[in-house]
Amino acid sequence: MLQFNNVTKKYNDGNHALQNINFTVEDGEFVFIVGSSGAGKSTIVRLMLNIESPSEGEIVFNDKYNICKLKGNKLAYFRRQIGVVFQDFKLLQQKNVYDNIAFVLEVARESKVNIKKKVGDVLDLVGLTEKARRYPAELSGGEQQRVSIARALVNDPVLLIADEPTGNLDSDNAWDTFQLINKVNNWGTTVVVVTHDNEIVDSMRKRVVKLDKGQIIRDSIGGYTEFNNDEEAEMDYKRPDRFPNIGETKEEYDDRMGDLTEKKESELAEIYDNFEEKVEKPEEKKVKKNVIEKKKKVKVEEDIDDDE
Amino acid sequence: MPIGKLFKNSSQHILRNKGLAFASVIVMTLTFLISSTFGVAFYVATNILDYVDKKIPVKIFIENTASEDQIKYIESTVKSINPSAITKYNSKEVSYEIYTKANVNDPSLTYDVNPSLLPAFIDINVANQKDALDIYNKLLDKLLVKTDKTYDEVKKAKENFMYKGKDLYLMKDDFKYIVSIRLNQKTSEFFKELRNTVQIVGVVMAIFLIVVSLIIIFITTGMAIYSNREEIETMELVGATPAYVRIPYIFDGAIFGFFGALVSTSILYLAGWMFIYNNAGGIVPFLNSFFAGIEWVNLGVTGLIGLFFGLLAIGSFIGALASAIATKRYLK
Repeated sequence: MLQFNNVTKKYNDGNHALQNINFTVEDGEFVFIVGSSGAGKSTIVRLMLNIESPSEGEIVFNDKYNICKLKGNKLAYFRRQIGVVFQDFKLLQQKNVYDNIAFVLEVARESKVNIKKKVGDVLDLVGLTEKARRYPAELSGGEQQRVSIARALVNDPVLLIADEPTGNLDSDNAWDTFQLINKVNNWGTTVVVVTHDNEIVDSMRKRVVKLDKGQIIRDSIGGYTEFNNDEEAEMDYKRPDRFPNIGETKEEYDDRMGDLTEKKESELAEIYDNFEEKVEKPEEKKVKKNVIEKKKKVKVEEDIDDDE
Repeated sequence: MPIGKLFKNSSQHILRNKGLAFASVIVMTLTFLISSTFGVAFYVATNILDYVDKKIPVKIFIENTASEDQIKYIESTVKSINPSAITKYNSKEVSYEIYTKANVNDPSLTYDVNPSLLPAFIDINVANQKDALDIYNKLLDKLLVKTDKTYDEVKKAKENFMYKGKDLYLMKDDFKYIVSIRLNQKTSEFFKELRNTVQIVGVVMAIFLIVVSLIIIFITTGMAIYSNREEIETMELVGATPAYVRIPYIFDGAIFGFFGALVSTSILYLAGWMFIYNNAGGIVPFLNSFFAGIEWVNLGVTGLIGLFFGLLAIGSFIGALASAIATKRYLK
């Protein structure tokens, strides 16, 4: 689907944003591109969309075109095959939800009948049918991002690129957004996501390409943190104190949770400490707090159910 | 892009930059108004020049008492000077007809005038002005004789006379029945100069104003592009072709040009209707007294409608051109 061949991006001041990048994204794959700020993640997206050109190397799409050489109408036709989701949504404020999405199809000169049908379908997918006539300013951040995803999907793209799609969202909305992106990937669309949201990356167990100072320092399947071996990675994924992993079924989640909600806080702390000893994963201290909050939430929900 | 969508987009762009859009239309209107005014002046000068050119270059006015032999004698004299000259005798009735036509709007000038009060005349037509001047000068030499009498004495004696420079001349004895000889050369030269001046000033002004209009619309389009840059960026990212992005802005420019041309052309046509057909200010009757029978607008209804839409098309083209340059510059 997408091949980066010896791609280097050097700016006029001599700084390298990317150095000799080589990786391939296969059809239907889900790839996270992660790294700290300034690692070169966004540069990769800009190169993939031909907003910028590499100083050296080539980016080949579908084994056919060198994206970097596309111009004018050819570039436009290429971009129609790609859906893009941005951190700042890039919605047109003077257009309502329906028009923001329909706009992509108008650009591609789709008939009015097709536009109506496709926009309706995609609004249904993101759950915004009722808000089709609202303007972006009247929507929450999560809803705006769902519009952005709907816009990216309405043209049936073969590749979905998301640049920090949860950067402006709270954790619940971030979760929903990735559930949606994962669903799209399951339908066969290739997905490339640039993010620094480690919880999301950990909860999906997809391929992770990690950048540091413009170079790839890791390219493997797993979480945000690189574990010593697959067993450790698996243990981390199935950790009982996790929220539902993205794409995880209710049964899988319940299995993992066990009778967690019945345990006391001191027992939970013990479980967490034991886990920390087994898997050397020191940076996620906040998980412990999340577990306790989750437990309380579940307990309250159960109490309400009992009352009813 | 469908035309309805183009209008919708343009109205949005114009509303977002109301001030600049208004300025663009005003500048286009001024450009067209001034250019068209010079155009009209050029057209009128050309019309007058044609009229004057068509006018018989040399006329010999004669007494009503002149006999047929005397008239033939004059004609043969002219032929002896220039055999290719064409002469035509016009009776006092023809003179009366021309006079009444020239003063049709001022009955006080035609009241109590009858053919017997007006002189008959002989038209002398030649191929060019040079021949006319040659005939005129030779006729003066043949027909006139210098006199020492004063103007008052000549008037008192009711003799026919003419001035050559400051000197007073009388008709020779054989030509006493000739009232005067007239050459139309000076008028013709004046209108040639006038037309040339109008043409040069008009062209310079038109070029200057068109350049100003181009710059104003260029800036307006640039501002519209700047204020819509996020929308443009998004359009490009979702696969809009360069033409799809640019055409609405070029259309905006065409609209500015169209409205500028529409307003100015309407003003011009209204002025034409008022002055030519409604005689506002009495300007046309005044001019008609000098240029009897001249057709001020000889385009016909179809021509006028064609000209109107032609000007609108030119305005739209200029606007579209300026915007096209702006999109080329700002939308790389």
